[in-house]
Amino acid sequence: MFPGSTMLNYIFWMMMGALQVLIVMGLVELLKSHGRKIVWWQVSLIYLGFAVFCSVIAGGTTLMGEYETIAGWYFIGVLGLPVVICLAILARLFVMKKKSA
Amino acid sequence: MKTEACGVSRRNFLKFGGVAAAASTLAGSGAAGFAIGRSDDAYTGYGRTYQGADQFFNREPFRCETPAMMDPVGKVERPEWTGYLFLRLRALVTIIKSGEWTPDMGVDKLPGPVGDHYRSRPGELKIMLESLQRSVKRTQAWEDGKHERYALAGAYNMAYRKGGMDNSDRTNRIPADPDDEHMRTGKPVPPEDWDFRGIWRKKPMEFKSPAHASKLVKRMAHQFGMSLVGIAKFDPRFMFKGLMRGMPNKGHETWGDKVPKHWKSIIVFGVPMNWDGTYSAIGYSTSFDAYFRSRCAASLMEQFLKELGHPARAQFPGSNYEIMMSPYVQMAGLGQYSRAGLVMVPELGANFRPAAVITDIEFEYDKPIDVKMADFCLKCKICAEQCPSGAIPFDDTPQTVVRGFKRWRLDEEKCYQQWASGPTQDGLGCRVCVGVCPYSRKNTWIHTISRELEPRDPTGLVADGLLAMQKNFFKFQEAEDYRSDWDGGKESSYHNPPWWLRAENFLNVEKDWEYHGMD
Amino acid sequence: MSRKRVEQILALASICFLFAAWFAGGVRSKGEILEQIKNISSQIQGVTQIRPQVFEGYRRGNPSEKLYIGIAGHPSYGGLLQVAIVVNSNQTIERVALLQDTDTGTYITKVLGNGVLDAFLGHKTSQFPQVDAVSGATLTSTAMIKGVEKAAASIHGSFQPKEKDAFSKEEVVKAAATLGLFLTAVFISSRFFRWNKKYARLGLLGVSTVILGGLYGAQFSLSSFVLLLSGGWTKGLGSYTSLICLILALLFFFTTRKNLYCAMICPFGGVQEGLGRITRCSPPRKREWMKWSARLFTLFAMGMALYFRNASNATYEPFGMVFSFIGSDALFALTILILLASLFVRRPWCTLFCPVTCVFDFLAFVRSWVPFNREPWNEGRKKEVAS
Repeated sequence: MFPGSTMLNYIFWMMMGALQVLIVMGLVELLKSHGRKIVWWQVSLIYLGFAVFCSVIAGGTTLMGEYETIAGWYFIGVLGLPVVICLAILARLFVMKKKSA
Repeated sequence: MKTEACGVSRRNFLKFGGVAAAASTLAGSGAAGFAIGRSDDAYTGYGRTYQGADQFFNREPFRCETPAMMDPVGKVERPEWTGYLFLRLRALVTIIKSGEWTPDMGVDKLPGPVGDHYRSRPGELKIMLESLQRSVKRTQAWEDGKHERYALAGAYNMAYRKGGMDNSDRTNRIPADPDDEHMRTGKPVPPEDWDFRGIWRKKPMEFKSPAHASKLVKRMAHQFGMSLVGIAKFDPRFMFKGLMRGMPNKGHETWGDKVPKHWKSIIVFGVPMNWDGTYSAIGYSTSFDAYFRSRCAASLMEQFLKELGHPARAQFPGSNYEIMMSPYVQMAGLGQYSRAGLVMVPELGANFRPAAVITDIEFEYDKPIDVKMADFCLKCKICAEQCPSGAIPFDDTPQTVVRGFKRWRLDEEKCYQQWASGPTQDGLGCRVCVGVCPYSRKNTWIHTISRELEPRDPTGLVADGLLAMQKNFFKFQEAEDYRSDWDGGKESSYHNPPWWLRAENFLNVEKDWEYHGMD
Repeated sequence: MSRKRVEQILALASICFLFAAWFAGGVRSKGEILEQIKNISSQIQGVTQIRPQVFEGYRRGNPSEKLYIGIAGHPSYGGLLQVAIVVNSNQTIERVALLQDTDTGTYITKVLGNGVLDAFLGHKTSQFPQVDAVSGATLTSTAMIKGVEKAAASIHGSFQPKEKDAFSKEEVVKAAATLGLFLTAVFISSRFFRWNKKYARLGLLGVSTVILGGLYGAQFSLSSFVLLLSGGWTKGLGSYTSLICLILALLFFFTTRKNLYCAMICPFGGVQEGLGRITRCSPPRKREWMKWSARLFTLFAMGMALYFRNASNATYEPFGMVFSFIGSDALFALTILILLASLFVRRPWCTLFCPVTCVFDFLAFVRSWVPFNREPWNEGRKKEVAS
């Protein structure tokens, strides 16, 4: 990924890994601020949705890197939209304040 | 407060988590360091291919007994040498030049085996004669102006052809060809002679076992620059009849269907053509960068085996064969037959140009594979839709029986007609089907996911999904648009050519053309 | 002059503009056929008409080599799709070309890209190959295939009259389903409906999205309006479902004084509303200039379509893209943006851009000139949508 360097690739991925921890911690704080309980499988689901979305972006940009720019955009649009919708559903179920009865 | 209600307090979580993270980081650093030291990428000057790392697809889960479409449905016949288009073409041109026959005399008076071939296939001679005329137009078009637009593509092509492979003054071909030797000396050079020339050992060196032999030869093939290699038993069903280089007139009249006794095994190997040029077929692509490397490896392998005391004979492209390559590539477990008449391999798709060496060593043979590529062809049909000459069949399933096997049959006369009419310098190739095939992709993780997931999915849903994405996300040209502008086309390409093949980027040429393709 | 007076003048001016465009278009398309034939192939010279639908010419540089051109049309998505074939004296088809495309560019690209017309090349006119229609663009491919067959027949001199396949069983079912949806909508909005209107409306909207949108892909658009106005449907259509849907929408609009279509039936509206209900967002604030720019754009698009006699020229809505993946790259980007926006504001396309809304606004405004109208149409709709 970093031509000419043998080390940067590994450093990059280690930092990415570290950032994931920060993301999850932030998600937990967000849930707290909305007054929701921290349920581990809910947090995991939301994080999984986020991870899938990142993969879709990565897939589309890989295609763009291969000079298939239009295909990359279509990939992100067609596969990313359902992921965003699912994330919205998850947000509605697990994050947004419950409507009073 | 919260600390009592939950099991782990915030402080503890961070403490233990922190320690775990630190330990992981240390382990990770250690592993990373080791991997870097061991990595193929550390071999400066000798990239992954030489380490064998470009043959990255694990074929073992997909081994099968018979390759797709190679279960005979009738009597299996060996092909006549006239079945090979380039030999046939050369013979036809010789007949016409000698004055023995002219086109207006009709196919019935066409002499010899070439005449027999065309008489048994009505309509094909007409296409071939048309191709000859178009070749003249193509040469004219090249001289009139295309030599400017395609200056770099043509020079790149010829660099390999004339500067590397085929200094064909009969003294300097790589690999050496027995036919050159025969033409030079006038004496017949049978395989019992040629294949053993250069061996100095009184007895061939014996391998510890067939498995040892396979492992060594495969490593050597990689070391000689080949990305993929496989070994199969030599099956004489796929050897031409009436064809043996080194014999007078290549054995057309005298060789018949003899099979040399020492032809026991065939080592098949190859490399891809340059990716970006291939995606910009027709005018900016070439086969010769891959051919050159495969031919070099064939020459090296021949000599290596002879040094160990074993006879060896190279089979190499353009037309220096006694065999059809495609069945052996399949039997060596490298890939599968496709709709377009090419053999596709998992790592490279249709972008694979092989050569081979025949020898008498007893190897541990590879078995064919079934990665459902041929199944994908059933529904895909992109190559057929994109073929500028309409030579690729649209049949849903393989329909044509050719010499005992039921498969898709490429209409080679129509295909060659496009070669003869394209905007190239030497009329040797079109390659649109290679570039547009969904399997012909570079190696990135998304393609790895498809490649590993699709053959393992019994429902076929992954294949359907991939095909839907391929057909809707990727934009293709009209088939006619690939043709030369004097032939009703626009000289389009699937992708626009890479920067290093655009003449206007480096030379004083006026860009009076438009690119029709994706960037 | 009051504001209402200004709007009335503008309304009349719009009608005049559309009429002028239609008239100018008629002038333009006469005499184009011969030009198009000459442009089919640079290889053909000396083209003359020898029969209705059949022309004769010769190959460039060789007057003794005769070439025949047959033209035929077959009803398709947006009207009559005209195909021309070039046949040589050996009865072999050398070239096939589209003369007039009334379908959306991408339908045609999809079909041509699948080699539907190519499959005929090189075949004798008496031995047609088996050519399959392309899924997702069935009407267009069928029209092209039938067009070629008819053109060949007209060269032979054995032309058969049009078959009436627009009235097949499937089409009748589709029309009946559409009528059923509208009747249900009328029932729900009437005072006879005693149950929860909100859920009933949403339920009907959901059903309609699945059937009219997902299953049939027969949602009407601006191009359907143009088709209706320009009379292109009289020459035959491949499928009348979207036109029926449009006529029913207009019919019920005028009789019930409510826009039932937008609130309860429109599949794209259904998609947006479904997304909006996930996040419980509110409708966007519509400014005056947005309203008028949308109307101007709608007027312009309709004018162009009438002028070029191509109803599909008026299409810039995402309806085809969402349900059948038909449309340009730009339309794809627009569709994705609108669908994403639907998660943040309620029905963004409907309130800000939809030309169908503009046309209904126009019709309501014109209707308001008639004295007996009391309740403005959009009041009823606002109540429905906000519930």
